[in-house]
Amino acid sequence: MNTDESVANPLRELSDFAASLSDDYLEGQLGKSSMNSSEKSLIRTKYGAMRRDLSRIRLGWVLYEKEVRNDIEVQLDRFMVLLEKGPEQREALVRQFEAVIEKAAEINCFDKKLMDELAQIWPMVTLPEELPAFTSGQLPSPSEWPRYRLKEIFRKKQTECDEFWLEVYNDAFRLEIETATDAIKKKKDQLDAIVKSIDLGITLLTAVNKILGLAAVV
Amino acid sequence: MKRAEQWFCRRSAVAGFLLVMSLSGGCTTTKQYATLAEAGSAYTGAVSALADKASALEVEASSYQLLNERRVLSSQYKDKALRDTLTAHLSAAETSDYRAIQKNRRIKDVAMSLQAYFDGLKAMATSSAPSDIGKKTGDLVSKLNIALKNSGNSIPDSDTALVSPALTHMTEAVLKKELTGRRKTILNALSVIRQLDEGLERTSSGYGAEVDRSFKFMLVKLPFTDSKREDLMQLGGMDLWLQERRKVMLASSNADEAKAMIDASRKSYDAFNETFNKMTTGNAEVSLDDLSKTVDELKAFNTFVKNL
Repeated sequence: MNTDESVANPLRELSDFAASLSDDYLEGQLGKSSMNSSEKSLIRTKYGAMRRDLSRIRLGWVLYEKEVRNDIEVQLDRFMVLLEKGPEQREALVRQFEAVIEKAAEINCFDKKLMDELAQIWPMVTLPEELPAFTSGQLPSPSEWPRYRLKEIFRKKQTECDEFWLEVYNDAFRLEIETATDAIKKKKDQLDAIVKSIDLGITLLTAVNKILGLAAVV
Repeated sequence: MKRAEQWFCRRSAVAGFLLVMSLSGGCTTTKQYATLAEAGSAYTGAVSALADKASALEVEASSYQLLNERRVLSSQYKDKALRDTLTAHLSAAETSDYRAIQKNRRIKDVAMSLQAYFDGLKAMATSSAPSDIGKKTGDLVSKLNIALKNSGNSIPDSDTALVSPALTHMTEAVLKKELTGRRKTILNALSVIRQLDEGLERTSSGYGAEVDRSFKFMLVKLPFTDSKREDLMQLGGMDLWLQERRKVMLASSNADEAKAMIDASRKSYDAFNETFNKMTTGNAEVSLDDLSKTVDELKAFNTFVKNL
């Protein structure tokens, strides 16, 4: 799903963004825009909030990687192994599921590797009936095995991440991309307009020549 | 300065300008820019289609979840309590699905905004206007000459032959300036779209796996292991069960399709990113053949996603 580099260091991607989204960049874009001052002011406010978010996320990632991430990964990996085990590991699996629910809630949504792992795990736990540990018929109770809890955690985290990137695009790039698209269309329209003008000129000159030709004959 | 000298100077200036324009357009042709723009449009178009697919998978997975919850809750609640609980689950699923669909539509809208940019570039690069202007300028001069012949003046046809290539090179120069000047923004915007694309892939992969597992469990395993299901041994029920089992065993699963889509998407993005970088930094030449291969890959990805 991801390149090795981006899995290893999402911080680098975020840092690249932070570096490219300077005040100068924003002012350059606003300078070209036809927005009124209150609209520009709103964009500046949103842009500032986005840059603060970026800084917060980058700082958060450093702490997460240092203090939180490793334990989550260990618990998820242990759970993955237990999911394959038979009834003899039933109790261990149920206990580990509780630990995984707690740890999954701590996953940083920018952590691509663990988000991928969570996306792999949650569909396996929604049907405990299909897990080897429970095939002997003794299913865990709903309180022991909240089958859709991991799915909810995944959905919430993925939404959080998607909302962030949507905001980055809309606040930082949409204006420039749309302005550029309009400008390109205008340039093409100008070329097309030249063709039309020349066509008109040819039509007029054909008519003039016809009249002149007739005059010469007369 | 005499009239003849003025006319000569003007002619020389026009010819010189056209010659400079012809030589200064750069190495990359409009066809290469058109191909690059087509590749960008194909990738962003595929992401936009993927957003729709993710919504469809999410709703299907949620429907299986509702059916599964109904099955489990039916053994815990009865009558009104069961009806109320099921109604609450259905309502919660509708709200949650609606939010997910709205979010995916916004992702689609983002991909389409960059696709519109690439489409605009392609329209400009493939425009016939530069060559039309050149050809029609020649026609215009011929008509003018007929009108001017009685006054003893004429406009040299030889200069007009340069108009078409000069305008084509002007278009190339505009495209080059546009893409190299906006390189950073486009790469950043593409990178954001790639993040959203990865989210869609991850979501589709999870929901695809849930749909596969639920389908197998609820439509094949449960009816088969339920000894009370007598209809399974009658013609209609048996036929239906055989069909469902055939789908599970022989058809490609949603999870397999999601995996193939993820591989194709990563390759497409990497190929486009590399080509775009080469063409806009001027560090390496990109042949039309290489570009065509990139476009073919991206188009294949686009078609693949749309056929899912």
